[in-house]
Amino acid sequence: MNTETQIKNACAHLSAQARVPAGLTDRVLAAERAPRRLRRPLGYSLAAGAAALLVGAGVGVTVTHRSAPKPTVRTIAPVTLSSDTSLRTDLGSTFPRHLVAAGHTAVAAYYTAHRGESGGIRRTWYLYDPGSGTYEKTPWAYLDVAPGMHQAAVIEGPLPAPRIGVLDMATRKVTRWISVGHKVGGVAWAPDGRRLVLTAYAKDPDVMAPPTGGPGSPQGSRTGFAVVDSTTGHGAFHALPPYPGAPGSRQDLGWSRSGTLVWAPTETDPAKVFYDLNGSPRPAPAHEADAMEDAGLSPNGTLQAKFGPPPGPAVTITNVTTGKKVTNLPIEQARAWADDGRLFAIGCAVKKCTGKGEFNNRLLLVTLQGKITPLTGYHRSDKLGAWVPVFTHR
Amino acid sequence: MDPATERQFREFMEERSVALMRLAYLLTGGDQHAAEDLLQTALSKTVTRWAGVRSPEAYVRQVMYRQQADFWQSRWRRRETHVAVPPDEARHDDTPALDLRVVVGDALTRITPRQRAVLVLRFFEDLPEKEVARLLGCSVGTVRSTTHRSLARLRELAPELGDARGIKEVVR
Repeated sequence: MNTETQIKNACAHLSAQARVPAGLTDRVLAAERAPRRLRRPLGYSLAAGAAALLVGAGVGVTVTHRSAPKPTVRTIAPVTLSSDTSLRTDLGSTFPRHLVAAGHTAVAAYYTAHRGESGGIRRTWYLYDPGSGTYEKTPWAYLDVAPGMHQAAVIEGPLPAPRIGVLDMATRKVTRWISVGHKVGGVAWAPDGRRLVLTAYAKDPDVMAPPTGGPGSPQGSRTGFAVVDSTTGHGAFHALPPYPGAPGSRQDLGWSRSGTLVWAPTETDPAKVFYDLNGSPRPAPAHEADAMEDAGLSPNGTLQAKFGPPPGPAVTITNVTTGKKVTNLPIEQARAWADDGRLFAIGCAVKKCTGKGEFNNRLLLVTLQGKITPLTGYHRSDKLGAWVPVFTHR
Repeated sequence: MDPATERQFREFMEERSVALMRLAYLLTGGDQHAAEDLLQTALSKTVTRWAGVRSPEAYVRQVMYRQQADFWQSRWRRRETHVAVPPDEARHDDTPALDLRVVVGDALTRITPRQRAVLVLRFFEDLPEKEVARLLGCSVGTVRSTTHRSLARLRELAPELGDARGIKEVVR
């Protein structure tokens, strides 16, 4: 292969990682209709040192700049689905070494949990390295991977920590440290791959402590959250105490599908309570607060996976627009949608899915027609040290 | 903008946005946000001149090339990406072809925008030197010398890339 062909192939491979931002057409047309002073890409205004706190999404949203008194208008572009939908498996070992991916989703990282000296959980994180194509062990205490798998948000131990880092996954270097004036124990990327919600805690969120205020009192030490822009580091902190009766002491906030709201976990129905980006309670978007499998709603927003019916293993897929059952799948858990027709699932060995056998399981890809493709080797999911996948749009 | 033009623009975007985004992504060295800004700027310029543009895709591409050209005339020296620890050696496993693409692709993100633009135009877009010179508003000699230096730099970063003979062949 000559040099010319090698460069051509490398260009093709590199360019295949590009993602067309959703709403690009509308954004260009909106700019065309907007007054001339507003016709500029957001990147320019952010590079000018403006603080961006994005509020709302999907259609037009307001971007508030600390140094710019007048708001400008920008549509938040949720990250679109990947052009690379190839199936990647690693069946050879208990812990994945090579990339595991299907459809528009990949296992971007995983962690193994161990008991720490303080009695809490300590995680060892393995993060995908796009250079080597393998998962590499990291020193971070907590992390989340941005859609597109180019960046990760990382937190140093011990938790909670005074800052979070934005890590370039290719160079493995932190390109920006962000501090919000409060100690942070959890982080999650917005669907737009640009903003982060940081959850602040007074104490280590992975150490279970008995409630101090009697039965029914909050168990955790959450103090609030901050939504920050990963490119500028700007954002604002909002107090949000732990939710009474919420499971465990870690009560990290997550993002709504549209990226306009954040949610906090509860232990009751509804399973999530939603807030706007200033911390004010808001009604839950349709079907997003339902108690359901981790996979949530399908990418097109019409399918929902719920546990059961017994005796199982079974997960029921329902069309939320018609309310009708679509299918029952012979899996233990639905963890993430690969696309609108396939799920990442946890499944156990055939004929051994009873008693302790249910914990001898592995990651699978299952279609709505029930076709199962193994993605990883078997492991014991009930033991400390088992690996737990983190799924990301690739 | 009248409804017919808007419809044409939407159809154009439906068909060509992926290819244009890929080019923007290449020109910006794999920077998704910079690529979005580059493409959006080019599209905005195109849509305002839609009625007078014969080939919208060619126009968008040319705006992006020129945008990069303007950019590297003033700032390219500050834009080369340095990494603290360059890779010691090529990564080898059972997929050497993929690895070579990854290594060379990584090198492409680490050269200057000027070098990258010329390599993309010459080898990804398959354009002759004369056409590259016209698009970038420079001489054929400049394109030729930049290509030579860009390939040499690329080989420094990715020694697996061809050999000296190969470089001579492609700049001929």
